[in-house]
Amino acid sequence: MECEDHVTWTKACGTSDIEKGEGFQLDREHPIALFNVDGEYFAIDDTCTHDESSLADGYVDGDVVECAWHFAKFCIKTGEVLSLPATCPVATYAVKVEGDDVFVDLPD
Amino acid sequence: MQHSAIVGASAAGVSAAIAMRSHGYDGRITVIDRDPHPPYERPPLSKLADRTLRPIAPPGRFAELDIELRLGIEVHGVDPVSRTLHLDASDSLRVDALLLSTGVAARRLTVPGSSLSHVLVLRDASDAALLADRLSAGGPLVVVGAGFIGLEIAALARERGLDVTVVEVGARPLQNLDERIGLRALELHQDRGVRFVLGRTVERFEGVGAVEEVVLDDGTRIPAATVVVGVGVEPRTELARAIGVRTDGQGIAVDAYGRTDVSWVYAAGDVASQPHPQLVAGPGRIEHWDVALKHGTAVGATMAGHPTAFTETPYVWSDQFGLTFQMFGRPRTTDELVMRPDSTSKSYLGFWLRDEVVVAVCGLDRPRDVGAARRLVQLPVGAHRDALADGGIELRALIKTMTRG
Ligand SMILES: Cc1cc2nc3c(=O)[nH]c(=O)nc-3n(C[C@H](O)[C@H](O)[C@H](O)COP(=O)(O)OP(=O)(O)OC[C@H]3O[C@@H](n4cnc5c(N)ncnc54)[C@H](O)[C@@H]3O)c2cc1C
Ligand code: FES
Repeated sequence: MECEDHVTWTKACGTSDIEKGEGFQLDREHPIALFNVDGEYFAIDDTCTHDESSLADGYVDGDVVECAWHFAKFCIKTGEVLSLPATCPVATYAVKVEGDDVFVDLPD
Repeated sequence: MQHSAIVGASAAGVSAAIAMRSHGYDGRITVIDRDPHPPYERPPLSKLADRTLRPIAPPGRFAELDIELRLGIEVHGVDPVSRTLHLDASDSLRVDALLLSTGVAARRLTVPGSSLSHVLVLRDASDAALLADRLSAGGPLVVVGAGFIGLEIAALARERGLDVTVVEVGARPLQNLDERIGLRALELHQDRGVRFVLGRTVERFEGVGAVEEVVLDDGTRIPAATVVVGVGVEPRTELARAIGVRTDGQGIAVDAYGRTDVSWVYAAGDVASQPHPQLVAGPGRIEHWDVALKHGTAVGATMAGHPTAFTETPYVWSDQFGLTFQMFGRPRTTDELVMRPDSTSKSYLGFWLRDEVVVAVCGLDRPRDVGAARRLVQLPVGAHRDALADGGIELRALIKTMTRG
């Protein structure tokens, strides 16, 4: 873990861990879901704001992830909630790729 | 100004109101429900032991969208000529269009003793509050009916340490699904200490004031501090019939767009008897939360001037002992269920085939797999039939090949 200007880059996984159209769960106390949208990487809170399903388990269509339990949809890029039954957005986190490693900017 | 009224502020009614606004409807929208609670989700009522209600939409949303909620108010009748709804206490409401999203009522038993205290059904928040009280009072609990709701209540009570017996007239739980699914549910519940009496019906309830014993048709007596009856539902079609809207044996007859045979009246959700493409035996009700949300959304769009047919694959889930069962599609008992080989009573994935087409998918505790496998519904299995049942072939890879055609 290294710090630069209040940004805490945490190594999440390797680029090959996140297949296109799939989610990757970074398993920690506050889990994070990482996605690969056409070669660009994004990170959002993993826990759906409706109940407790993992969004990394969801179905990815373009930049939208559909929750596996009751199908709330979220924008992977903005965290915006796009359909019921969820009504609150999910948090998003900055992501950077260095070589084959994916880093996420996570609060401590 | 145009005025649209919606009777029933639950999944279908609320999603319809929101959809009307998102399709630009700028008339007045009034949503009426006799339930006094702000619109809440029904599925958690049989899954959570606490009494917190999970809202369908955040509290401020209705005001934001200029949707007027009239809660705790019953619509007693409708005058079809003047298009007037009769509410409580001589209050009435003139409308131009009406959506009936009145849902279904839990069926009660009529055997002797059915009106004793502590013989409950579970449909709404006040039923759930009563049930929560009774679960706190302790067992024994007798659940009549081993459908999803009965099984969920049995699991909930068992997890709280109550003595639980389920009485079911059929030979296994979940009668209208494949035997393997019902038997797995049976095994799961029995492992956790739920007792089952199968192939029996209730003859009467006995007790002084409150229920004390359930007497079955073979004379067996089961002690009961509380009984919950989960034996199906009746569509609430009274208002439709008062207007002269056509109903069939199932509910309010609608077309794919939610239109009834009366031009200004629509119906959506559980109460609607709809010609869904996956109801191959003809129009009928689909009683699932996700369906009611999406049906309401389509019918709301239609009412706002954007006719939208509802054809999405029906989805239902059920949570028991911390495991989620999920099913896409409407399998018939004559369809063939192909299970993945790694199936147990606590985790499985299965596909129903009809004429070599995948018509439905289900899973227990496999949300990720079900989410991927649902893409196969309506696709021909072609050469992949054996691969479905072959544990050596990775599921996601197989699904990708099949969806590519
Ligand atoms: C305990 C329980 C658990 C469930 N769990 C699941 C689950 O896990 N998964 C799943 O897919 N489905 C589940 N369901 C089914 C799901 O809840 C229904 O499919 C869904 O609620 C249907 O929504 P609806 O809007 O059509 O009707 P309803 O939710 O039945 O709402 C109809 C509303 O209309 C109101 N109303 C009726 N008549 C009048 C009148 N004359 N005046 C004023 N108001 C009126 C009623 O008060 C009610 O609020 C469950 C149902 C119950 C009861
Ligand atoms: S947990 Fe995600 S939609 Fe319910």
